[in-house]
Amino acid sequence: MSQKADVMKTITVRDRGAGVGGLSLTNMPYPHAAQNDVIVRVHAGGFTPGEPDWPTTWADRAGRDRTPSVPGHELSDVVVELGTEPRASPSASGCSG
Amino acid sequence: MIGTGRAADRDTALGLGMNAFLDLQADKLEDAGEVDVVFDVIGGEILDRSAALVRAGGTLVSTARMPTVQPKDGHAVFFLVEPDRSRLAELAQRLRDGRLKPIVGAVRPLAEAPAAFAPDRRTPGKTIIRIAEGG
Repeated sequence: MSQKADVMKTITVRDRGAGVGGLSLTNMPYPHAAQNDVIVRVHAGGFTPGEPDWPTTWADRAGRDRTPSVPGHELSDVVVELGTEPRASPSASGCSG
Repeated sequence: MIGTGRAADRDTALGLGMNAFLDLQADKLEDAGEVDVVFDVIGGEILDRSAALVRAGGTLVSTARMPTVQPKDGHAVFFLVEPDRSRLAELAQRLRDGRLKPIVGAVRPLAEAPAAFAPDRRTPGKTIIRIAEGG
C-alpha cells in the first residue's frame, strides 16, 4: 500500500468569468473522506466545455462556495478509501458522468 | 436515421450507421423532413428549428437545455443522465460487446489539460486526460 500523499494534483477553476481559459494545474490538499464519502484514485477523466457555466461548478447542494472548484464529471477510477458509513458498497472501478 | 454536424463529421456519422448526413453549415436542417425523434446535443438556434421537424406524436429530446420551442403535436424533453450502477454496468457490457463505440480523440497528461481544452481548439472525439501511469 502506498503512503498517503499530502497533496493531490488537480485542475481547478477559480474565476467564474474565465470559462475554459480559467483551467489551471494546482496542488490541493489530499481530500478527507467524511461519512458517506469515498476517495477514488482517478486513472483517466474527461471534461465538458460547458462546465465553467454550470451553477454546480461554483456551489454545492447547500449553496456553499466551491471555489477553487475541480471540474470533470467523467471519471475512470478505483476506490482507495471509504468514509465511515458509505451508503452502498462501491464497485472496484466505476465511472460517472 | 439522419446525422447532423459539420462537414468533417460526415464520415464518422455514416460509419456509426447513419443513413444520411446533413452538414449544418452547407445544407438546410429542414431538408431532413419529418422525423419521429430529434436528439439534440447542440442547443441554441438548431434546437429551436428542430422542433418543426418532429412529426405528430413524436419527441424532441435535448441534452443542451429545456426546449423553448415546442413541437406542434409532439413532446419536448430536456434530458441529462443520472448514473446508477445497473445502467453503468449495462453500458460497460455494450462497450465489451462492441455495440458502443466511444470516439476517443486526444489523450493528454494532466499538466496539458488546460491547453487541451483551450477554447480555440477543436479536436474530433472526446479528449481524455490520462492521470495514472498505465491506467
